[in-house]
Amino acid sequence: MSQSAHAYAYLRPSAVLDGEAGRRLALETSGGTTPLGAAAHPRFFAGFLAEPAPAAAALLAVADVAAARYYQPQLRASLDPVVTANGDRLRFESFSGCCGVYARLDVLAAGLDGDEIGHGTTNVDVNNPLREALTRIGPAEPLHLAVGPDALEVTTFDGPVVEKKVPLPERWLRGFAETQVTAAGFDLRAELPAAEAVRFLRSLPRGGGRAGARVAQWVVPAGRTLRPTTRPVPGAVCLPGPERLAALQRVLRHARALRVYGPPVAGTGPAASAWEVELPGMRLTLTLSPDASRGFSGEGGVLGALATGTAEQDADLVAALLAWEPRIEIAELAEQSGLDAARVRAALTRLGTAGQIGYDAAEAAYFHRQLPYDAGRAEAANPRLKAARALVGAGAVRLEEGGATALVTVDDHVQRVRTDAAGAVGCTCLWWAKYRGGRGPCKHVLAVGMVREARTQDGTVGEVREGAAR
Amino acid sequence: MSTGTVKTTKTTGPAGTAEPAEAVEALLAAVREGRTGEVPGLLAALGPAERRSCVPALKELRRTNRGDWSGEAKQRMGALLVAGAGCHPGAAGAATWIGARDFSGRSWARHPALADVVEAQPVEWQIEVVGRLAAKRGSGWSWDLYPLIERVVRRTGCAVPASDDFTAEWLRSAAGAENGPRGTFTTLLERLRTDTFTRALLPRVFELDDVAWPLDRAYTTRSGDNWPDAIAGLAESGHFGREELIDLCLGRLVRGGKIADQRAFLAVLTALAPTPQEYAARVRDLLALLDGPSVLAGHAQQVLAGLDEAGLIEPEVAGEASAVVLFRTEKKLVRAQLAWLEQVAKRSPERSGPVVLAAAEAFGHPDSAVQERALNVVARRLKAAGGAVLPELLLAAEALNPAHHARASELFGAPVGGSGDDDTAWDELLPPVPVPAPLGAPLATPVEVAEELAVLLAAEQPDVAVFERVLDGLVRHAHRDRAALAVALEPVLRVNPWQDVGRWRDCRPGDALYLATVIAGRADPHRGGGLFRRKGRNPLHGTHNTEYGKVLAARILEAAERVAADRPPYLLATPTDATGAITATALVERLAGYEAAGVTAGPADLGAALLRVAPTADPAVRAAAGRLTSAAGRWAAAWLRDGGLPDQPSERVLFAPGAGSSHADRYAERWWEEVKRVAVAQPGSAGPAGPARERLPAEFRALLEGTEPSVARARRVNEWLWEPTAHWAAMLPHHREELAARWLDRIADCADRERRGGAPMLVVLAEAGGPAGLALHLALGYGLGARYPEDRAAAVDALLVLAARGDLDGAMLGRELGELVALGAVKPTRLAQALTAAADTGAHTTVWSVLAAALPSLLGGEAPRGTTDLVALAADAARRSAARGPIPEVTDTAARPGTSRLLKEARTLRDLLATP
Repeated sequence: MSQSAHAYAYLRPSAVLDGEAGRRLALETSGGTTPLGAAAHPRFFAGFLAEPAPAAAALLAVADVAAARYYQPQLRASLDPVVTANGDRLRFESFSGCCGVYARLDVLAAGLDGDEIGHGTTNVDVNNPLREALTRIGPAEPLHLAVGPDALEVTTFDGPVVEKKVPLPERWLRGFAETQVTAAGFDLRAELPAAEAVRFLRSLPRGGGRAGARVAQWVVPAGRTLRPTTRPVPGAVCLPGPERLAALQRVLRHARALRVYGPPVAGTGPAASAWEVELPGMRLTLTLSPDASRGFSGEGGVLGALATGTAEQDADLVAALLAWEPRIEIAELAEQSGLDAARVRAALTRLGTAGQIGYDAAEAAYFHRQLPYDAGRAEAANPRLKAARALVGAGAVRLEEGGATALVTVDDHVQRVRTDAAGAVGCTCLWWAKYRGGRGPCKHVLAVGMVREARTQDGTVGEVREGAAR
Repeated sequence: MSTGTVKTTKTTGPAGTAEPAEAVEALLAAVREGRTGEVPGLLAALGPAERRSCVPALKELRRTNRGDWSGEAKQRMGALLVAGAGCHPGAAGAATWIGARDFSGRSWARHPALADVVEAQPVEWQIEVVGRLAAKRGSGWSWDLYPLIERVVRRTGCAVPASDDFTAEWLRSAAGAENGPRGTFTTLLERLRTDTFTRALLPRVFELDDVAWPLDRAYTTRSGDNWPDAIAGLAESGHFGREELIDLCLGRLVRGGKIADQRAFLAVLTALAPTPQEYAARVRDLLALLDGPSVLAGHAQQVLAGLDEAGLIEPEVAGEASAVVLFRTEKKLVRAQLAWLEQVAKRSPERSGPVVLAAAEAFGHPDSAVQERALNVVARRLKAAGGAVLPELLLAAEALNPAHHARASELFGAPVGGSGDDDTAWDELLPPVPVPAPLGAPLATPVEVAEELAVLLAAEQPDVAVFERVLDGLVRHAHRDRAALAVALEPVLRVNPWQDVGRWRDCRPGDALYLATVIAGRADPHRGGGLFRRKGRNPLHGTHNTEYGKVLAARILEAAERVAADRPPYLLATPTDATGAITATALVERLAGYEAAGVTAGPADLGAALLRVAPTADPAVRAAAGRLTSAAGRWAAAWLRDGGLPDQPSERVLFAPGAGSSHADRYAERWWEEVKRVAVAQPGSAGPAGPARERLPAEFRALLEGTEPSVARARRVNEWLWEPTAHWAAMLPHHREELAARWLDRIADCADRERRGGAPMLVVLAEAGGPAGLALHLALGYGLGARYPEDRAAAVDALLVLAARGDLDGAMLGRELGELVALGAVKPTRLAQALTAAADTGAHTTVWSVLAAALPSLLGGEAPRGTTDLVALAADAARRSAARGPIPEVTDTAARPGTSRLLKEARTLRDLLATP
């Protein structure tokens, strides 16, 4: 697996400090960007948390996901959560080491009481003493929160005290970015009041492994609750690997409602889903990949858009217009950029894969954030995309008579790619047979798409030239 | 080996005398021949430059050795490891070399020669190398690099590496005998006291995962020879700060982790035995533990209650603890918490106010008995608490189970649960009636056929639609342009060659591949001369074919024969929806098309189509059928006119074969001797004969043969090769009762023999057509009492679908469930879980209809364990569905003296039913 390393540098460890002014949660920051450009230790917020105990529990849940691997748990995962300040809210995000669970805590304006909330994205340090201190936080006393050191502190420190160098797997980065694109296809499927939410989440199996994996994969809203079912009936939501919702147990006591988001049921295959617990002034959302053994990185739902390359310039244009908006209004962007809504959407999809936007299912809107990693590069190195480029480069694609089918020669054999009049595609390879496009196009379809695009572009260029000659 | 070879090396390589090139060659030769023991001596003869010059050769040797699995190659790895450790000048390169994964195979790192070579290097180099090695990740149970690192660290006295893996390995090996001087026995405590690593590594132990096993282990029964005792001992003797250890241990417990680890660290905490004062200083840790695993929460609760009694902590702690504990589901913890609260109020009546409010947190507890207990506590302390708490109590009381509303109203002097209670006007909420998915248009192009065939072959459980469309598509396009189809199929057939060898498994949908292979000209259907039907020549018949597999085989084989001969334009038996049903209109049209094209219907194709065609009373369709002239057409017309295949009556039979009835099965088991089941017998039917005395082919008649419960049937169905699928159900889409009767043993297995995964077909049957009789209701009953939750979930699905379609006979299901419980086949606890799941979705009337019929049998005799849950569920469902009319058994039970929960629930139910 190809991977690079990522270095965190914090001025000091994040900690809960007891001072004269009461208890203070100081989250330290490392790297990232703000509207003013790259920053070493940005500060986004200083003020009080309206509900200290639920906030502490929810932060721990995010940290749990960052440190967890729900598949092959013997391997390690140790990437720090990402925090984004969107001006009116703080978002804490993390992505599990197995690339299958994405967690986000949105601390809304109602959950914060303090200075203005800044703009920007950075990493926050999480360490063992911090975990213990967060667990100890009781409901009674007020808790002050500071995200990032203040300007004075930055100048008085000689340099970072906490430096961590961790491997940054490409598939992790890719999965983190692509989760947003997957979530953009979700709709609200069910909403449970507190008591039912608690009952439902408690009824889920805790253990992983075989026992957990075999339990009902789907739930369907029924009455006031969710009923496990054995099949994807209309309106059902997939719950793959229910033990992966374990992090929600931390906040169960504070839950006010549970909302479930998922894509429309299509076929019998598993699907991703998002589970949002409403907390006082906060929302904690876990997004699960379609299978515990199947990370978001392999879903490849956006590969088609990446392969064509038309959205690239649009994406640059749109990216320049973004400034950490909590809700990206597509109509506004269209007006500002002069592109139509469809092209803005395509550009946003592309930005999503580059880690430049997130998706908030509760708001049904994208939000701006820039992952503090070099995410665009990872997407370009997608194995399937690379393989498709290699096929095109080797001249393996041959369009057949009539244009509806194409033969792709791979080593000693061929696969046939079919494109029907409506633009739907199919392939004879095993990947397609297994997932039927549900995990994105196979390399053959991508390669044929690239060749077709090149053809049409050549064709138009040729026509233009002819016209000019006349 | 090593001591002997040291002498040899001295004779072969006297340092400094041999030519450098020769010495290098000698080293490489020793490596090639795997003489590991000689390597240190040969290395000693080389200067730094020569050693460095060996590295490329060693790398090359290691590379070529990689694919070699011979014994010599394995020996060579050891020599390579040692030589590389000596030849790498830089510490980073040497550490990478030594820690490489391919050397770990035979624990070569433990070879003494490696230690010798490392020891001969400069001290700074050694420290750097072991530092890097210690930071590498170990492989789990045993880490071969540990002894090497440990040796260097102890010898040089450098900083102790504190990586997770090094600590974990120290934890495992510190207890080993090698740490004590030979011949003397020392306990773990004594070894830890003298070990120079203890100071640095013991605090790290509290940060490790998966340490339960070494921490739990008692090496001997002596005190101090297990980790908890030893850690406590270190604190006692002042080797380690007691406060520090308590903080580390509590910090670890607060942070959380795997349950086994948490237990182990709890044992450490117990061994440290903090005093009440020490605990009181860490009250927030204890409160945090209340949210942890049950065993930790129990411990923390006990300690906190003790501290509270001793007056060492703030009185508010009791309230904060209650908010956490009373939210938990463990009855033991909740009861203990209520007892603690009651103690507080007894001790200091002035705290009664906070106490009753804290106890009221349990009003929303999922267990009604817990609610009652909390209500009792509140009732006893209400007077002392005063009237100020009443408004809050009233608000909390809204969460109470309606069964407690009357008492709460009486206690708090105001109505509880009156307004806003939607329970009495509950609408029965059932899932929408499923509409069978249409099959979809025939596959339009050969390329699509190839794609779908690939899908069929790749799927573990292919859909009915995929198989049927592929089968039909292959026939259609073979008719249109066989050569084009063959070209299109090529990419799929290349990776899925037809295995024309002896088959032992059943015929499956994926065997449509055979048809594709025939079309591509790669297999010959052995047509003609009667040879085809000869035993052993049928390519789709294996040694374990089921009757369903034989039907499938007959259809595929017939299609294969015909694409090689008269090439029909399409198949008759392709269903029009995914349940397998064909509309009568479609079948009549297809037959008319055959007549127009002058094609004869294949017997298997026609047989399958007749079993699938939906009965119709539409005169227009019947008239159109009457106009058909071919033999097949006339039979189909008669079939439609006479109502087709008659339904078989189900007869209720008790199946209890008892001992000594038959031979043991292939696993030498005689499990059926203990089985007691209600089962179903059916007389069988051959299907109506055609106008010209045509009969269904033998394979199809076999589907409909009579069945009765027997050891043979139970055994056959118990075979793991015998696995019903939607494809089987699609053979008789209008006769689910017949299918249920034949599959009953398998579903019953889920309940009385606790088999897993037998019930999913219940949903398919619930969605299929035909009357739902005794067999289907019995199958559903067994499914609701299945051992595994996914089977019960499938049964609940089926129950709700049947109810939504109006096919459920709740009284029949209830009566049979009562019988099954009495026979011991279904356990009431499991049944209660399944029916609760159904009731939670809003199907209260359905659940009540079932339970009302089951209660007489359940309460008639000695009530088995779990009956209470069923009665409680019945009371709830009866209240929500506004059921009326007394049930004598309930009235009798309610009249029995006693205060058990069963009697209480029965009384609640009796009162509900008696409400005018």
